[in-house]
Amino acid sequence: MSRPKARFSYSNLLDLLVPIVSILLGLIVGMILIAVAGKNPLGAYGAMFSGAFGSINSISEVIIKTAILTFTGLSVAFAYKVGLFNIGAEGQFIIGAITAAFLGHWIHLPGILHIPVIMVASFIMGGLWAAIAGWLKVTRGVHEVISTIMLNWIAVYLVENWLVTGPLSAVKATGSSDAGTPIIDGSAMLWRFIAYPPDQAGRIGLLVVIFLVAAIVAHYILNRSPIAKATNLILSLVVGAGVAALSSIAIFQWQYGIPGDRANIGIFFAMAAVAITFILLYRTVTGYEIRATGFNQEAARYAGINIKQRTILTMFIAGGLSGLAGMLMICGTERRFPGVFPGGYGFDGIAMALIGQNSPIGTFLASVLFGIIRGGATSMQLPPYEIHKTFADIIQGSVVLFIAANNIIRYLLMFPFKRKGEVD
Amino acid sequence: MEPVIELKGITKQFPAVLANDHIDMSIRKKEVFAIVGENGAGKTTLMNIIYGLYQPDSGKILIRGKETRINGPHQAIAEGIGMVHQHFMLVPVLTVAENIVLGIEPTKAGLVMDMDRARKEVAEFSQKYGMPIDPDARVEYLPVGMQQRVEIIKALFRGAEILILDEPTAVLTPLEREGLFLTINALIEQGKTVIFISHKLNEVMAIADRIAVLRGGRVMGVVDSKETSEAQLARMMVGRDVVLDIAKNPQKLGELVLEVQDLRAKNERGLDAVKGISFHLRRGEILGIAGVEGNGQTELIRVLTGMAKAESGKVLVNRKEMTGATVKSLRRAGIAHIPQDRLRTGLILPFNISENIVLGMHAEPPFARGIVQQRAEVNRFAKEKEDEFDVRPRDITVKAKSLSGGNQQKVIIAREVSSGPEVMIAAQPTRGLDIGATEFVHRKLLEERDKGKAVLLQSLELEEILSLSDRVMVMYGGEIVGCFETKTTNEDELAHYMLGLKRQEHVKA
Repeated sequence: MSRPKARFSYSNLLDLLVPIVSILLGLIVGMILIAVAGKNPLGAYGAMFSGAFGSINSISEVIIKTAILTFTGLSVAFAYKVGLFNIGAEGQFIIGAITAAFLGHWIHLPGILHIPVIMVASFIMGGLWAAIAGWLKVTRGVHEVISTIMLNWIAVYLVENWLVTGPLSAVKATGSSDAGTPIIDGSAMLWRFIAYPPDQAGRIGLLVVIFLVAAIVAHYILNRSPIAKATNLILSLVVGAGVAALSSIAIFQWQYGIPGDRANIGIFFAMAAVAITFILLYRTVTGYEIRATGFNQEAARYAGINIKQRTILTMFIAGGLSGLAGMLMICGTERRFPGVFPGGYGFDGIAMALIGQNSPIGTFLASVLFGIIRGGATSMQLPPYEIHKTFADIIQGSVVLFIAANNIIRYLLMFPFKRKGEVD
Repeated sequence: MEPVIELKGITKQFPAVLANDHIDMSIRKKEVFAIVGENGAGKTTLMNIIYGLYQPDSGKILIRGKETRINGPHQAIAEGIGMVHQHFMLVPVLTVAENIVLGIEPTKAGLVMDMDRARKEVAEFSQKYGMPIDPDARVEYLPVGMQQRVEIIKALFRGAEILILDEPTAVLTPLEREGLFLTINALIEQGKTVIFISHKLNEVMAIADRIAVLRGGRVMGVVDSKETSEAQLARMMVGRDVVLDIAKNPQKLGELVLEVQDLRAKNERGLDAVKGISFHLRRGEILGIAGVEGNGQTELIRVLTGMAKAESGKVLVNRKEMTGATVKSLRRAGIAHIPQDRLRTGLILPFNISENIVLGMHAEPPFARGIVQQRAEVNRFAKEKEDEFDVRPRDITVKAKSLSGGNQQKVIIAREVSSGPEVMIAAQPTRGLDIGATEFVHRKLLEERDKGKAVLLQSLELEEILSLSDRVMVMYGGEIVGCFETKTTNEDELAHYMLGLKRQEHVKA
């Protein structure tokens, strides 16, 4: 089996350069604003990056933010592949979160089962919430931007203003005076890098999962090279075992190495989601049909693709990804649905997808970058800079603006080539 | 006659191709000068140079004997050169008059637009050149032929003496084409010069005084239309003998595969478009559907291929009722479809060749196992078909949007033929293709027929239908008004039926 050589043209390069240049321009805009405010821009940026990496605590925050942003970003990017603009990631995120908070406290299962059950449920609930918009789109022609925005508000009022303060509140459930829902069971908490609670069965389960995933990925990759099937199987098992062995050090030892912080294995879930969405989009019939529908509905119909069904399915999966973001927030970071919900990740997901050019890997990279910027922005609040932490929003906003104006950037980048002319 | 435009050694190099290679030509006043050549021969590049959209790398342009550097369209217009592009540059929601005066609007006191004067001037103008048009009609509601007329008047209104028409007939119906030719003749009489770009040889033979043939960016010769023949032009264009008349093998008629009974369907606007059509199609035959555009052919084919639903009537494939079946089940039943619009329907332009070449078969083995795509199998298949169907470039990772029209069509035909169909439904399969590609498509359709498949061929080109089909049915106003053995009919007879002047009492199709 030989793979065709990828052709790399200047236009491919441009696709790559546009987001990078936009990010740089966004950072420059940020510097100008700091300078206008009479502060030292380079110093402030230095504080931001040292803030992001300066302590275990801040690295931990970066990791949490990255994981959640990745999920909501993937959600928006995935919907975009079928041609829909999922403004509703925030609502799906909230629905996924309340589902996790509910199942985390009200059902009781062993650790190895509790988290998978919550994941599936949050995915389905977030997915159904988004599928409403997909269904309205294909049956009634309701524009998804309108319906998802409305669903966002319905989710906010339903969950934050009713369920969390009413039937699902900690006050009602346990009689405690805490705001928000009650704390979830230990078995529903994602393992933090300092393990809590010390759940040996859970860790062993995790190890098994890591072993399986590594072996399957290795098998898939080796399958593309000309080696015998039996050799492939043995090599895959060896790779799986190796990765699991290395991971075991982290899983069993980290509690001694790193002081207590909120970073958790959610980041691995996020990475797995990147790989899975990539494979789903580019290596399966379903993904092919989704992309075909997104590019050209008429041609998709001509090919016998059920457009309506694909559109709803895509929205379901997109909503499911946002739902998982909510699950990470509850089971990983907050451990309850808090009285004051740290929302906004759904809307930030739109920016991540745009900056990542709607590719799964691009979205992940954008999430890492903005995880860092957001994590570090907190440190800029301290003297001598005293820059409000919403500064991260300014950078994010201006990057999105430059991405949206990508034709201008393309034009500027094309300029040295323009004179030589293009092929008509 | 003194030349109005002379080109001397015009050369234009693009990164990958030498589009124009030392082109010399001189165009005389009051003549129709045609430039023919296959897609990619450099016709459009040359015209864009004359119109100032590109600068040549070397060579010079003389206008009325004076060397001129044309820096942009505004300067070309100032020099009296007008261009009507293949794709019109009109604002659909504005009226005819508004479009024509756009950018040079007459004003009252230099401030307020004087619409009355604009309307009057446009009316006078269209009268003078014998191109009647309603200045108040909204452009979006005009038929294509009329829109083209607006473009021509727009150019003349800006003082064009030399008019470049880029593939002007590509979008026209045969009737509109006649109208355009009358307009061109009128323009010549008024002392204008027309440069006519085309790759349709019968047209340039009919309208042009002299014909320049381009191939691979070079001028292969300039000939007088009275002293040449289509065959000679075709040879110059393609560089080898081209079979214009197709030799057909004797027909081996097989059993019935497609039967349509009293089919009725509406168009996208909800109006009746197909009004009770019945016909049958047997293995080993090509059944042609002739007709002027907009007489229900498109809707009929959409219903037969599952892209639209019928109102009533029956469709039987291999004697099994398939009325209202989905595209997917019709494809499984052996219906292949070469759609009339390859860009909008036949291809997914951002997909590469190998992704496009399995479109419609993408979920079937061996291209998929369960939901997992078998990319190695897809790529192997794509490579094989690229060789078999001579798709260029031989690179399966090239996106469909960067292929030439002929190669795009080859991808579609490769796919539809290899889907192993029982019935091949081809809608205008050679629209916009050059001679070489047209010949290829025709050969493939005949091969299908000789293999014992049934072919339903819809085309607006009567010549194509007559040379390929075994039987022809004519559609007019959503009905079949006549059905003929190709051997016993001719273009004249069919034209009468196409225009609704005649109809058979009992059509047996």
